[in-house]
Amino acid sequence: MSRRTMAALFALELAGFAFLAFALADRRSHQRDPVFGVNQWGYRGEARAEREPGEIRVALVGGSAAYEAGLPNEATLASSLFFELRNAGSPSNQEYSVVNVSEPRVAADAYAAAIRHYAFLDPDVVVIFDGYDRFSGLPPHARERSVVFRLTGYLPTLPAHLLGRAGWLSDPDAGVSESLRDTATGDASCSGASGAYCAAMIDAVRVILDQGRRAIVVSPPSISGRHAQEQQSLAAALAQAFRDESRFLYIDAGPAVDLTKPVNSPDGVHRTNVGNHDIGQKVAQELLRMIGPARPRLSARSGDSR
Amino acid sequence: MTRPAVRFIAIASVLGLIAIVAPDPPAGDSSLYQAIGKQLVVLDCHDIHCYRILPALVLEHLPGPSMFKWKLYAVLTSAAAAVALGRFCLVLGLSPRAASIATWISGFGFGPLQAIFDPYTSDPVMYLVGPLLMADLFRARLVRAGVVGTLGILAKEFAAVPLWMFAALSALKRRWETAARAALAALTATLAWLTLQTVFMTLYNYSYGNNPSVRLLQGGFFAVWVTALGWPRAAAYLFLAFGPLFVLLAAGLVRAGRTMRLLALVSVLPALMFVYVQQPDRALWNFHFVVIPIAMLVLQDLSDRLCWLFVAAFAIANLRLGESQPALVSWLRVAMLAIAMALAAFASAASFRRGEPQTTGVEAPHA
Repeated sequence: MSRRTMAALFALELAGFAFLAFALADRRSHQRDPVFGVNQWGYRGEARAEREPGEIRVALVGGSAAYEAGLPNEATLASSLFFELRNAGSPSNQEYSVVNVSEPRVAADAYAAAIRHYAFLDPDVVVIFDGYDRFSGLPPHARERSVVFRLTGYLPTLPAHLLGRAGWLSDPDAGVSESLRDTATGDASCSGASGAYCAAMIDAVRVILDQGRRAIVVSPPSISGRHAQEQQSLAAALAQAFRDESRFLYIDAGPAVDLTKPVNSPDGVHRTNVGNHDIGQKVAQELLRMIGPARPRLSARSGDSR
Repeated sequence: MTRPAVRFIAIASVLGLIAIVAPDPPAGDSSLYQAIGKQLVVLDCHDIHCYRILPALVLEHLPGPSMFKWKLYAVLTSAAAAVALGRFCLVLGLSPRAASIATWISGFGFGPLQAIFDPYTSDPVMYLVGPLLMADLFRARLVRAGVVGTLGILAKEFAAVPLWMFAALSALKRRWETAARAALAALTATLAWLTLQTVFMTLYNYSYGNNPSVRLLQGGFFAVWVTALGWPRAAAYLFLAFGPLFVLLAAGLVRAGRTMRLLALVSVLPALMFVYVQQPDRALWNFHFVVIPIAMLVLQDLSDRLCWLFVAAFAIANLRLGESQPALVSWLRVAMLAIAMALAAFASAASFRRGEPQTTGVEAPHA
């Protein structure tokens, strides 16, 4: 082996060490911000795949309304739901966990892919909580745009930090879609402007059921008359699509929280922790009723595994 | 059938007999290793054993009860390690007789007898890898050694150590090209080890959990181990890792040629490091391929009868039959330790009396 070849191999190996050191530093950077940050698998909260024996796991899927970038993790709907379930389960030592795999600014057409991707978390129940923006396709900083995430399931964050660029999952909340505002015209229902949205929601529920899990769709608090109309037509479409399916549940949380009250919402759109508490309570009650006292584990899953 | 093969069968038979007699150990790490073997990835694993995948992956895919397979693995791998040690002695220039005795000493040392009692561990692979790699390295088979070392890290991190030791040894002998090639092989094995750690940590959420090994500034595993045992017992356990071989080692170093002394020298730093981060007595036995050949420089001068008496006494002194030993075994172990120590002291005294340095053959051609 010539000296030049050996020097090249040493250089290559040192580059390998540098890359691995960078990867470990990146992983550490995920753990630095448990309040607002995302974990290495690209969702809010602690990365934890394995479950305690008997633990019931709930996955929350959604867009900005479920991700709640502006709130600390413990004030989000996912945490409220977890606290409610934990309180309900503590007398019988029933363990619950909630994983919030939602992603800011993604639309309903991205939910099915997210459910498939996070099948390794093996949730018993998947709750879809959609918001008020109506985009299609992926936003610029969606985790799925990361090649590393697509190939490995790991979401790197350090490169964006070091380059001073906006990181993954940093897309701003777009608020309320024009089509859902009462100033808009036309049919807002599933047979009108919301056709693609309703189809995507039905598709997402079908993916959940095909994986052998239970599915819950929760309508968000009503924000306008057109929004209420859209959600009512969605409820009807879902009921028609899954009318014989006992593993599906639709929860109408539209009137559950009055977003015009400052205690529930600072701006009439986003929820406070009080607003989240009310919705979390409602979802938890319905979810527990759906699971029933026996809380049986569901049969074989079709989801992938890591 | 070759002599090493006969020795392998003989040692494996005796170790197998001990494994049959010894009761099963407490559960320990068995369930974790079984899970690793069955699914490779144990998501969210916060145990250092989760990174040591090789034996589990092979064994748990073989038919038969898990404990039987692991005990058989410990027996066969330990016997193979003993034969590899004998071969390394020959490479170092020791006589076939000395190599034969060294084989038996290696087969019934603290490490193998601990491993066949509690077989859910990668240790036997490391006992094999040490002399195997060193023999290859001393015979200038660097590529093969590099490949074995790189695969070995899938069992345990120690597999890269012989490569680093040989690189340092070659550098001390100013054989720069050999040193560079060995360092490249060592670096490759270390890179493979770090890759394994990184992949498991980043993709599968592994960590070292509360393992004290990684708390380097708080005394590592060593501090926890000493605190649990107390200094006197910890010191005794450390001594008993090699026991009478320590006495022979001291005398052997006086008689050893430059290569063997340098081999001992380059093992000091990794030995200290591994004693610091792993269970110290088990970590020490990893370096049996350094200690035993040097000890043999002194022991080989004893008559056959005394040499085999030493082997028998040494083996019984290391015998382990259960978490709490039967009283008879405990008593026998102490008695045999005393005999082995006396023989070691006698051989060392005779060696000092003789005085001349040992030079025959230990200047290995490629080191």
